[in-house]
Amino acid sequence: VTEPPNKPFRFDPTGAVLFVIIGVFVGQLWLLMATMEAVLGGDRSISLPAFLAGLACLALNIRLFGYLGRGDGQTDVPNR
Amino acid sequence: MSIDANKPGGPMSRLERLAEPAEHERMFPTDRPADRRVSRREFGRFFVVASGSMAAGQGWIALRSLGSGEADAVLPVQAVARVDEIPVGGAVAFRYPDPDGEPVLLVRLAERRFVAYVQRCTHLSCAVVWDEKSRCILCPCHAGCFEPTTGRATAGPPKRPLTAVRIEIRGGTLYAAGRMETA
Repeated sequence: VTEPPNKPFRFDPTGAVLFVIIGVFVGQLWLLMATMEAVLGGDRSISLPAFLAGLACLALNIRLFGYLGRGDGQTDVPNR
Repeated sequence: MSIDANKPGGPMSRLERLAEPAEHERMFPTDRPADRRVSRREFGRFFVVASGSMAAGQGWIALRSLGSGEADAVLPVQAVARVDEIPVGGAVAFRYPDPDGEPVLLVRLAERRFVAYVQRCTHLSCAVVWDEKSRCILCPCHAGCFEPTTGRATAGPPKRPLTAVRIEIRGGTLYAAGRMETA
């Protein structure tokens, strides 16, 4: 019986950045739904802080997006 | 006479014909696997664009909310109905503060006890109705229930109380006289 070779764990920074982007996206989705629910229920005071929080999420996502490579086979670091 | 399908120049089998590229594919060849491939950056871009759309949506909600400052305005006194038009335990709906205003539900709880609430559930804005049997202002959308004397939510998903409208009785006529903050 041959055992499969153990692959050493390698941290994937691109995958981690994507994971965080998706996490922020899901949080923003929840924020939008909560804002809608509050405003439809007559509580309008929450809409401006929620908008600012949404903008902060967007800024964070744009910043994180900048860390992703430029595409297939192309990275920010030139290949040698 | 037998027909050899494998013979060069012979008739093709059905499978072979299906495997053959179509005319337009021969004329304009495309690399389908490469076309279908989504890079991580493209995948990430989708979420960033969606994130921007949601931020824009929240901006729209904030603009709409800031634009409607009618809650702080002084509302006029408006005749609603005569006292004897509404039986004890009955209810009528009217619009306030003008004929195009929000629908309001006026309920007669006792001989001299009237309450009125904006006819909009504080959960998702469905129209609430008076249910005399259960003594509850009911939201039929998600079975929310509001206590009629205070407007507080007692059952279902709503958390906030209904917006109350002040009712005054003058000479046998009921008047709506502004909104009230409910506890």
